Amino acid sequence: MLIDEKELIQKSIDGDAMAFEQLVQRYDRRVLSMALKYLNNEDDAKDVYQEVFIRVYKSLKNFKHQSEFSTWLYRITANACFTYQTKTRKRKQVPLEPSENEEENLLYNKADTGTPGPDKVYQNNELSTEIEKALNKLSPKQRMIFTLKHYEGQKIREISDMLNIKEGTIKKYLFEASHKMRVLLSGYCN
Amino acid sequence: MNHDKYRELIELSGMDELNTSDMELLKQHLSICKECDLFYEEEKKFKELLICGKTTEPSDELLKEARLELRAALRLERSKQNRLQNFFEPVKDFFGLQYKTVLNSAAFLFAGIAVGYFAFIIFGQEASFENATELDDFALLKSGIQINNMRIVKDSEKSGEIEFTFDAVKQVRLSGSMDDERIQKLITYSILNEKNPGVRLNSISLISDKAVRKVDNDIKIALETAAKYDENPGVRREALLKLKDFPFDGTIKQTYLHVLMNDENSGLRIEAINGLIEANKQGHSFDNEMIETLKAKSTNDENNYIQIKARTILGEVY
Repeated sequence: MLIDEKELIQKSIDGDAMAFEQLVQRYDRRVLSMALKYLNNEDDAKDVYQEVFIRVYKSLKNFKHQSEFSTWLYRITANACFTYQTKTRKRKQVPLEPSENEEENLLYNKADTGTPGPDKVYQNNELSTEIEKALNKLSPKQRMIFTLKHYEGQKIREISDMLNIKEGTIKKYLFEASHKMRVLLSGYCN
Repeated sequence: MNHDKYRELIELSGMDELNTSDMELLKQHLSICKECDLFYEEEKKFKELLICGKTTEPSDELLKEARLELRAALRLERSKQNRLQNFFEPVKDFFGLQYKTVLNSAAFLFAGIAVGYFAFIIFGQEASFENATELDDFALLKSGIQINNMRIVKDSEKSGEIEFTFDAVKQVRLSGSMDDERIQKLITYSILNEKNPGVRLNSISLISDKAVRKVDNDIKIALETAAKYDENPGVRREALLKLKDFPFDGTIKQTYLHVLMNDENSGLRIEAINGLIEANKQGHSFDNEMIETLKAKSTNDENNYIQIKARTILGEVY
């Protein structure tokens, strides 16, 4: 029988390791998926996954049930992704925005090549890489919101709760992100 | 006509976020506006493009690895908390003792002694549990289960009913060879979850050089996790050394780099750099990630030996 979530949370707060493990396993695939889609690197996603659940473990006693546990958890995940990306970018010294030339080349190449060849797998792989590159050009918030909406299937209301941002602002981020993505992927859209 | 408004509606419809009335409004507009209808078609294509281009879902293997690493990290966290608790407990006791607490404790102690006394009388003064005939139908005790952590739940003077809770622990003996899946699972569990570092160390030692070929990936992941996160440096070292017996691959490389970058124990960092050198001797060339780590270590490691080793490798590479 599935144990009630509140009970699992309480038991975890009381130090029941098995209960905490059960709680983790109810949501951890989604957490890993969010991190993987946002960071696009398995090792980084695992790091964020671990950081998220350690944070949850440490601060579960402060969870007041004012929102769904899942909303609280995904908010921690989103924040952990932002922080992780900022830290990693600083460490790797990767520029936050591409240089003008890079962007020009990217757009030029896409416009030049047009639709990729007939090999579907190759096509999808190439498309994935290009989508990833385009996503990297969004601001962290645009990227997170775009990923949550288009790849995690979250509703705008849910994203709003999760990130504590008004629904109108979420829509604005989504429209801006979609516009940028359309421009960057214009070669494939046709 | 305000096309921007309808474009927003088109985008929202592509995200499945339109309510029925707005959807109806949009449909009416699309039937009379070619420009917006074209945008609507583009939006559909764009949505299809996003779906077919990005389908990264975490694999079961990745999730398993993440869970194993999390377990080890949580154990470390719990032991940190216990250490803190143990440190602060006497201080708290010193400042926080109140007569009520003392009285409560005394009452519990008295109740414990009383229960012990009655249990002794009931179960026979000179008899051990095994000899007590009164307990013959008590299957738990007959099957050699050890009882710990006894607590009184109910002690009713009126009805004379007493209720306990306790942990019933049974020792299980299991024998088999290293290719036995059960043995491998137990070793993995022990490396990651056993509280006693001595047992974790012994579990790692059980994996002999020859056995390395027989063990499954879970044990390798457990060793990598232990090498990176076990709180005991002895266990981390043993795990790191054992990994040298496994064929060098990407995850072992990551483990060496993690230890080299993060471990506070210089002996372990030396083992990690030696692991990388050995892998290089076996034909695995130094990639960019390794070279970047070695560059950092050649200047910022507090241990001179590691700095010199890193510089030597870099000198040989360039």
